[in-house]
Amino acid sequence: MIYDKFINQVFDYATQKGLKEFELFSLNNQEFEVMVSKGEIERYKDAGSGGASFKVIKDGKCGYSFTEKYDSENVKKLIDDALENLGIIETDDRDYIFSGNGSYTEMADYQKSFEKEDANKKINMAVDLEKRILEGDSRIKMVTNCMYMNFSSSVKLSNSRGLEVNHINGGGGMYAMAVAKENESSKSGFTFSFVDNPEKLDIEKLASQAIEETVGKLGAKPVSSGKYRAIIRRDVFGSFLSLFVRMISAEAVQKGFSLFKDKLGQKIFSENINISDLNYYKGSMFNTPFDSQGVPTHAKNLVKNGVLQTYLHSLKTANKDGVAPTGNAFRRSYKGKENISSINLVLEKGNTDYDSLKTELGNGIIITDVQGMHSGANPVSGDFSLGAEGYMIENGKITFPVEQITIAGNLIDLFSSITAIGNDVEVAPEFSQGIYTPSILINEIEVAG
Amino acid sequence: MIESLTYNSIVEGKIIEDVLSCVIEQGGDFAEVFIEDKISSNINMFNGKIENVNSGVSCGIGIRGFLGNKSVYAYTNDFSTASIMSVAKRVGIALKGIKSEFTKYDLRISENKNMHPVMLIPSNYPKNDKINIMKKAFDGVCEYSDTIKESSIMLADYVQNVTIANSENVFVNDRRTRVRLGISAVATLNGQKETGFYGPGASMGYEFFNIVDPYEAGKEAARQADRMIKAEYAPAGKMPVVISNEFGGVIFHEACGHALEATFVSKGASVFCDKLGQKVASELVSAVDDGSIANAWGSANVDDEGTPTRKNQLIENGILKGYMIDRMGARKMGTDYTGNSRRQDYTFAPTSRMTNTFIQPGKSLPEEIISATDKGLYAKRLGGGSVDPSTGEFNFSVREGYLIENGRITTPVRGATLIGKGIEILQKIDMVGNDILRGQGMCGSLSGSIPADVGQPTLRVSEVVVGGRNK
Repeated sequence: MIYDKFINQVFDYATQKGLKEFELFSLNNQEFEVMVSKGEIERYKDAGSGGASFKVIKDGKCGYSFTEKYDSENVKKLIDDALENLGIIETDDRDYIFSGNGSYTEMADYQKSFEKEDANKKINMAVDLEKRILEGDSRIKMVTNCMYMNFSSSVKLSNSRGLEVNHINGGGGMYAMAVAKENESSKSGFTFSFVDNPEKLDIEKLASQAIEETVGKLGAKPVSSGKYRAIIRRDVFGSFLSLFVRMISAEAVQKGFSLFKDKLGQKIFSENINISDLNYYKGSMFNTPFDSQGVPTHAKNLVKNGVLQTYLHSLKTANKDGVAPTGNAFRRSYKGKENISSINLVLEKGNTDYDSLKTELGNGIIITDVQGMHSGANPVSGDFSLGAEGYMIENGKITFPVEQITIAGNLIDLFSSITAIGNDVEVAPEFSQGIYTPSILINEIEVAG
Repeated sequence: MIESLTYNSIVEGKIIEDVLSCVIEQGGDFAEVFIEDKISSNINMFNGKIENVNSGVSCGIGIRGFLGNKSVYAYTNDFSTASIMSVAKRVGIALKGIKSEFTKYDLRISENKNMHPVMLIPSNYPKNDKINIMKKAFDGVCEYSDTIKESSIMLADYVQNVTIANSENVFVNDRRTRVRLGISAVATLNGQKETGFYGPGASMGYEFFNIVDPYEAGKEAARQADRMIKAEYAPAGKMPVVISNEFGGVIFHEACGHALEATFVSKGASVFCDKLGQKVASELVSAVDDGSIANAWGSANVDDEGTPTRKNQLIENGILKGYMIDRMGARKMGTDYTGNSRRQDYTFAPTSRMTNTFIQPGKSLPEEIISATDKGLYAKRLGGGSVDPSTGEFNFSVREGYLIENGRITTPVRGATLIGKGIEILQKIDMVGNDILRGQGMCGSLSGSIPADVGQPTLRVSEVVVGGRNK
């Protein structure tokens, strides 16, 4: 109600100022989170807030401003600030407001299935998960974070070209981190499940995964430095795919921050690699019919048989390249400008199941965890050097867990040396986009230990 | 001139008192209100041209209640009395305590002075002058070397006004003013790319750039990228590593700092639990966290629970002396809180966090440390890292590295990561220099992303796993 009045006031004042091209983007977020410890609630949060961003364009130059106050005083400030900000823009790259032409994929809003769930039930589920993990194996000494959480985000976008769209995203899930000890070895491991409906949460499975992930690492040791054949497990490979997404953002490419400049239509990876970006993936929390500029989203191939098909575009980058926008400009907050990202990134699965991948690996290492992706991987150069953990494999069988090693290489080499792709697709633990990938087998990775 | 921190909060004192009463009446044994009103601005320049400018206002109220070891938090940015009171009631009810008698609060604001004086207030500073700072940084980047083909420069500032009140008679204001210049330079050579980054910042206004020369800052980012594009890949394996001062302190931040936060210690989820008074590091190591350093990036007058910030000795001559503790941590640990409770904004409940954390200077000269090292890695600039506090396993990246051969710094090397376990690394520090400096970073954890200083003098770790690429 207050917001509807605010929209009208913004449009009235903008029109009064003679503005022709502008857009108002708002988010209303709700979150719930409960963390339990030793059977009791430790932290509990249930709240929501929102805000709006104003974007104005004059002569192709763009100014932004945002507010969390929806009163008439701030209507004026919001627009005046955006205009002042626009006044100092120097770039020659023109920005645009979406014309509103295009058809949107039919897509239901998030049904708020988590919000309808009783809070006590959520608390009890978290308590139950913690208990099952603790009681499931005597070597588990502690569950350090056991959480149930859900969120929903309602986006509204209206612009001076008559566009008015809205959509609700959301979902929730559970997360637990456990610590196991045996002799001198102390290891931690985690499990998670993020879904669009609470009915899909399987506590028994989560508990057994947490135990397996933690206890399995006990007694881990480094291996000697050298080159190893390796399986990169699905959850870890998901992190590499998120690095890849940053490299095919047209913004990064146009600015010279990407190795994939001038690589459209060229073979960048081995032939068995097919990567697509889907605006709808069953069960994903990130499905959306439009991006944060109102551009319709659609399913598209990014890499087909190893050949790069397209970059990901906003209105601005698409215009600069003389192509159609791809509907990949997203704002995670009204406080910032659009960032280019995928919606649901999918690496096409192969035919090999996870156990057969181990057989195919024969002798080598499985990487089940990497640390330091935000600092140890460079989206400009593609180089990475990361702390890692996993298991040694001999003759297709796990022989011992591995810790305190690093893996290093370049993303392009990594994606070019994939010799087998699993069929064990799962969603990766990423919070800004859906990433769905199976595990992969590579010929060679540099290990230091 | 020291200003008094008085201003009119967006919520009346009477309503704050009613909120506290409501949470306590519903059965809480502690109630707290955090009101935030923040003006921020962000300018981005790409290849010397201003590309994005954004600014805005954010504000909200966070209400927290405790009952025993249970903490409930909620927030809103709807400032109507009805909305605020309904959030307070929700917090109270979720605590599931036994309803108690109405308690009336009569809060008196504590008069405190701003120990982090600001001369040139960011929100009044002319945008054209801000741009001039960025242009100087850009000149510094461009003029360094012709390998530098691209650059991206960010200038961000904010003024955050907070009012904090609780049922234990805390009622205090604080104003946190911060500016930061971030420069990324990209060097290109033979189809390969390398980046350099330098991001000086402070709890100051624009007078900060009287101390830090943007041109020199630009040169520094360019220098790293230029050095690294001409570098070989780092070697892999275990070796002695000499870590340079300033941002090198991220090693302590990751390897040790996080595990000294009450968040982890109070649940027994830290490798440093029950080790007070014990030797956890080499006797050359003394370290502090000090949120009261005038105008430092991670400083404030009070923490986000209203507790005055102070200097806390964490480690002295290798002996563990203290942890960083918030109110809830103090409850669980049966000890006092230390002025370390922080949060990104009103949407987060605060928890124990670092402020300005650094290893204190030793006696060695930096050049002595190098010349005493026969063969190893010199990590001149570190990037970010992360840690698992329950096992102490950490990692961080080396932005700029060199080989040390026969006591001399020789070939530049790139792409290295250092990994290890906290306590083991602290015990392997065998030389500590006298050249302490602090550097600025953003630290992410349970209560969001917050500004934090890291720091150290040049020091040597006798053996670390270096993750490079064998050549």
